[in-house]
Amino acid sequence: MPIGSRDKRSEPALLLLVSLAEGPKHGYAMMADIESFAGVRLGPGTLYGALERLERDGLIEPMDSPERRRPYRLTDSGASALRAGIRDMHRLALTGRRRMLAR
Amino acid sequence: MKKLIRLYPAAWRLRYGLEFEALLEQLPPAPGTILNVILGALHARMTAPPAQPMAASAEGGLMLDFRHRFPNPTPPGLAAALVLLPGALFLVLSLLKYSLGVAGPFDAAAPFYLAGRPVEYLTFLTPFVAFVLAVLPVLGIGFDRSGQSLRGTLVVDARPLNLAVALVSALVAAAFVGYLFLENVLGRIHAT
Repeated sequence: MPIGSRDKRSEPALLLLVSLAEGPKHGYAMMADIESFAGVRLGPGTLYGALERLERDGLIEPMDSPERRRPYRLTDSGASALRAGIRDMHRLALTGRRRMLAR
Repeated sequence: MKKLIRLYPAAWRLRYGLEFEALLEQLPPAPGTILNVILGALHARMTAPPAQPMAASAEGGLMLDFRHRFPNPTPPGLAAALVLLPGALFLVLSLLKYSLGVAGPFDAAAPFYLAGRPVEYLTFLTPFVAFVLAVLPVLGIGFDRSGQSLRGTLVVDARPLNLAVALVSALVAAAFVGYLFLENVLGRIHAT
């Protein structure tokens, strides 16, 4: 699973996982949340492309809903993938910071 | 903007269509959003797993099932494209020379194309062979007789490369046949 890798395509997926780490959300709530914490406005096509991939990989799952808007939540695998992704990013940030300080 | 959902594969719409529609209703129809939906649909089509062939209905009749597998054109599809190449090139060079007056490329290739009757026949046949090579692997035709009724199933595995080669082959073949008709039938009528 490329979460947290340098693969640009994984970025929306990572943002979605971070958003869902706060709790279940439907599509529009995820878009608004991601815009507020990351300053990134995901388009609906990008959002659902990432949602589909994450669901297929078992990292998120849909919840029952009486309305058309369906909320999603993190699975245990999704939480593990997010932890690993954050750890990778943290390591990357530390390395970058150390090297910049050494310049 | 909701109409754009039709661009997505049927299986995708079945799974996400309603919630995606609800999301689009909450967004203003900005050009960037529309483009994003179109690109999302293209990506969904490129990555969609092949659909399962439909089971023939109990009432019988013809079933159609379009499958999309953009990343994996069939080897015959690639072979068809290669077979088509000389015929299509001959047509393009001929059009350049006789319609636009650009004779250089045709004259340069003429020693090959006009090397003799066998080569001319082979060039003429290329679009027909390419069409068959491109179309056969994507067509699945089946019949099943149960009791009084005969059920037919036609599965079209809509692989873009195969279908594109088939379309171009048909156009090149039509051009060749049209040319022969004009030259040999109408030409003779005119001559008499």
